[in-house]
Amino acid sequence: MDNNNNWEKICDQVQHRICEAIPLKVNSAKHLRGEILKCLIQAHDHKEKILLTKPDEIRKLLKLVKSQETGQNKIFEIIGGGSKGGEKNFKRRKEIPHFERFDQCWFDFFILIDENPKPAEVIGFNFEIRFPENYDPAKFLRFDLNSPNHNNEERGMRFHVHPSSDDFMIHSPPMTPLEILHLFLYGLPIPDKRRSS
Amino acid sequence: MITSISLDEILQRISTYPQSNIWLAIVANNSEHQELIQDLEEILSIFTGYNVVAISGQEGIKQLNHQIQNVLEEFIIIFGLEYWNQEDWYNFDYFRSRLNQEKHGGILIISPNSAKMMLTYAPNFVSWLGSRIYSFQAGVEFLTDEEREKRLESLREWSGLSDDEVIAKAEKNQLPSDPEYGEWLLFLNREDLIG
Repeated sequence: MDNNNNWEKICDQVQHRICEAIPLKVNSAKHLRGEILKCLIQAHDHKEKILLTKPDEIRKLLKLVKSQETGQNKIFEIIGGGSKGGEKNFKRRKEIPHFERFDQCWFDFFILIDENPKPAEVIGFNFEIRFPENYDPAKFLRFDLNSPNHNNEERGMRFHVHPSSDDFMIHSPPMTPLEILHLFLYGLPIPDKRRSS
Repeated sequence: MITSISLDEILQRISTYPQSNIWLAIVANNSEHQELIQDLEEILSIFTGYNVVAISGQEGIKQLNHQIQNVLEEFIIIFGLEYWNQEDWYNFDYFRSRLNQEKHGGILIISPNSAKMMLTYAPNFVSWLGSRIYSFQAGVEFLTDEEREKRLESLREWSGLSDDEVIAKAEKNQLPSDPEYGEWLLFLNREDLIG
């Protein structure tokens, strides 16, 4: 029991350190969307064609949502792929539109931005990359930043990674949405030869 | 026939222009001007690296010319040309060379009525623009109502909860903090319950 309490305390401490280190302030949702759009188009235009998704498809996949009723428009969402006519891709179905890397890795994401504070702040996101079907060591990797002030944060796991399993969570490094996007585009190469286990 | 263009396409197009004095005109409804100008001021520099300034022509062609001569920014957005008469447009056409001053170009934001005036009374400027006159397609970057409803359906299916149950749980602070629930509350226009 004591050990468990210790682990919870460690989680809180690690979580606190991560949140101190990660810059979640952004100019605005539209500004962040602009940065993401540029990043994705550059990956497509890259000499090595990192991203197969074409600019006109990128524009269609990258959507913005704002609250409709209040007229305040204080919380925004950026959706990057993962939906077909709005349908969300919970089951990792490849026929749902997504961003496709040159090596058959594919990904989507969404980001919640609170524009009530100045500057605005990222308050939640989900970035998931799936590896090619014939790549056995890992099927996917997901970064979740949960909404603040709720249960998971109390468990010290607000910002976590799912390492190829929805059941397991480990603390995430303090990466911003743009940094995770760069990781998905330019990092995590599928190795030609696997390390022996 | 004027080609339609979205905000994203404007950004992308300008980013592909060589660093020279290239101008374009965007025809947009008056109600769309303010947001379009704000968006361009905020986002264009991400794509081009240029400093951007918006200058109103409301005070007349003389004042506009004076301001253009004194800008330090590399990219100029000109707006507020709705009250210009025939003579103002003639003068603008005459003074068009003032726009050519080692900057990286700019955009005219004009209403459909102003576009008619420009096409009629500023023929040389229009000729200079060539095909770079576009009709603005507003709001393309936003999720449609139909897409929002489809996404809500997916969230309901995923969680097994109804919209009312999600709101009730959020009000009792019992909603899991997965970001999907934040998205759900936003779609229900209850973003006040996030966090």
